[in-house]
Amino acid sequence: MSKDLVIALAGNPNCGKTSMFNELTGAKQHVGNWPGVTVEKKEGKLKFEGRNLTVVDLPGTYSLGAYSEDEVVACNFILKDKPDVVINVIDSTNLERNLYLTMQLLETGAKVILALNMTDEAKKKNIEINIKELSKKLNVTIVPTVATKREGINELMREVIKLGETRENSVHKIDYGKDIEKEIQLIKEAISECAVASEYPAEWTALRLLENDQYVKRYIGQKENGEKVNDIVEKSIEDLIAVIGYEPDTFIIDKRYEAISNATENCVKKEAITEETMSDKIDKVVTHKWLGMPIFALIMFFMYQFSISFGNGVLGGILGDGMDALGQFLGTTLVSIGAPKLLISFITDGLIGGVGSVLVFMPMILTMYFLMSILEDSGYMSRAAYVMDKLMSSLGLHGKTAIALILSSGCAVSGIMSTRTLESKKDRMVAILISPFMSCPARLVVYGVFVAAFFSDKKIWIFNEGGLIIFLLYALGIVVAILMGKFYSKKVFKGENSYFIMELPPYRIPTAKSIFVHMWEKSQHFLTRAGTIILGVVVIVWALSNLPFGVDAGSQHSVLGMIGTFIAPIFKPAGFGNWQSGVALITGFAAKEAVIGTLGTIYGVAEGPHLIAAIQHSFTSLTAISFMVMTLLYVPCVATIGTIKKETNSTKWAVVSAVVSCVIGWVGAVLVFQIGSLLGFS
Amino acid sequence: MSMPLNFIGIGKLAEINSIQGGDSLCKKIMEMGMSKGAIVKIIKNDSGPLIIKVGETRLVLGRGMAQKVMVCEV
Repeated sequence: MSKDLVIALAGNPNCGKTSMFNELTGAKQHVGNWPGVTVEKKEGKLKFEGRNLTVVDLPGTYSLGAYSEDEVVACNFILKDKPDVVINVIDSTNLERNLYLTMQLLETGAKVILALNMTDEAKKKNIEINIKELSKKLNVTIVPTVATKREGINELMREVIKLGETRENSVHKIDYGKDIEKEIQLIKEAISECAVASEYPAEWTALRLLENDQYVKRYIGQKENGEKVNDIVEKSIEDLIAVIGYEPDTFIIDKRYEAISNATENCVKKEAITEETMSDKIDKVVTHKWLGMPIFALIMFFMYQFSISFGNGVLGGILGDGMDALGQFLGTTLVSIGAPKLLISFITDGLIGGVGSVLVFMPMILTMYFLMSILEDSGYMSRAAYVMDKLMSSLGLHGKTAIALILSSGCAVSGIMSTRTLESKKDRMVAILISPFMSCPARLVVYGVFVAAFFSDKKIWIFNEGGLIIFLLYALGIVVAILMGKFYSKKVFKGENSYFIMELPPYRIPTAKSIFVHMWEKSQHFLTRAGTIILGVVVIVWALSNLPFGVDAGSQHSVLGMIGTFIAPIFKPAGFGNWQSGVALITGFAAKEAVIGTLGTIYGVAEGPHLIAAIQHSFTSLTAISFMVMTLLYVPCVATIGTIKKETNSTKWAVVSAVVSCVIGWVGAVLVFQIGSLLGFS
Repeated sequence: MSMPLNFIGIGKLAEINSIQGGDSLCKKIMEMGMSKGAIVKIIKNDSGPLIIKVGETRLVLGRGMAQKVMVCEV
């Protein structure tokens, strides 16, 4: 019987690791282009030559230090979970830097195999690598691959299995010089003398402590007698500074690079870096001092205009007509077969009216995610962060916060997850807390209905008025996020801002397949939600609007009506004090598009399936806007709050985020309504 | 002559001598390829963060960080 193997994929960001993972496991995932796109642990299984292999995709990292959680995750998986083989994916066009991680992987004592990826691009750039020689010098197996074209994958897997079968671990020792080695021995002895129960290998731990690795230092410090070891380390570091003249941590990094250049010295031939690539040329324009910001704004504006006019106007219109026809067909059919009135009401008002009014926005959501996937996969996202940095840093925010905000306009959950690439805790907390203020497609569903009710078909200059209003709502979300960010970073979280460091990956023309897969991944949870949360909400709302028995369905005297009437006065100053909106806002807590599902059901039950007409009847243009402002800003959905709690590791901040946003939403809506009324709008 | 990286003009090349200050981000940029002896090309250096190229990597580097990178123009 051949053994099942666990394989870890490690590598720098943008080295093609995700493509490799997809090729190996056939998982339908996307190939992102900005650093740190794989923040979650991804696992896949495959069968190769009769053997079951589990592949774990580790976060893309430059090193195994402890600067971000990604690195700690990768490091702990290799040292604690001990995968049978670690495949280190390497970008051949950027060999030296990629080998840095290799050096650290080898130091862990894991069985490492190198996949020299993107060899086709290296060839194009006239980079020649003597694989045999390099493999000999590093004492590891190297397999050239082109993951996107599946080249070399089978050879790689064969070598992986061969390596998994051997007993010996990879051995490649870097010579750090006798001073460092001496201190490593001292610390190793201290660890065994104090009997510190560490899960990490002693030699590795000693080296890490000399490097002043905060995570390992804390880890050892928490163990019994650990502080004694840390005291010895401190003395070692002092002694080393006296001998080598500077901090041992930078000395160790230098030594690793020295080892890399020794290894690559005669094996790699390449031209100087002075040649200007296509990416450089594009960057000259999109990161231009004056042009950068307008280009960014234009791209965003186009994205929303197109999603609304084409995605919603054209595609959504067709689906909406289909949905109406379906409702009528079902209604008449059910009547003709003599179905009970309650069942007819449930299907036409509840399902078609509620779930259907959410589903008609699928084309808009798909269009928007399609465009956003192009932006992400092409590599533009990190340029956007660069362009936005000036604005961000003038407000005391970190440039990468912009990435979190842009992704949050797709879904706050992914925006919040992306903050893991922020090094400082302060920057990260701020980014997490302001992400939910961005408009997401779930809110877009709400805007879509209200805009269709009041602002469709009107044009301001060449722009669709509805599109303009939605753009302004997006802008409002950004402004509130930024203002709150400024508040949080000045008043709540003390501490220094960290510096801005980010890689600008080369532009890539995304493949049609990757965009569609990416788009589908982003959108499918909307479909799933329509079938689960929204359906559930709609069923409950429908039931409550028909209870107690004998009440006028959907009237104020139903249970639902009473609940709504109870909270409605709160929203009177904002102009929408009707009980229906009160109920809708409560259900919006489950998911923001449930606001529409709920309104669709309530009005459907009472007045038949014409949501837009019903809304025109109960709202005015002004209260529609204040209601949209409320929907934008008030409490983030359950999924977002859950993510905040998980990522901040604190219930307190999840609650704070929910309460603060409710207050801001209410104040915002009231301001819009009161100021609008004063100015004479209605 | 050694000087901070942000003193180097656009399009110029510089060799890294040392990175000042011991905070963890200094180590991080070293691990991202800005090691001693590496050649850096300045792509952008006006206001705000710099854009530089090390090997085939384009990096955005905050100005404060760039001040800590001591280089020699080559």
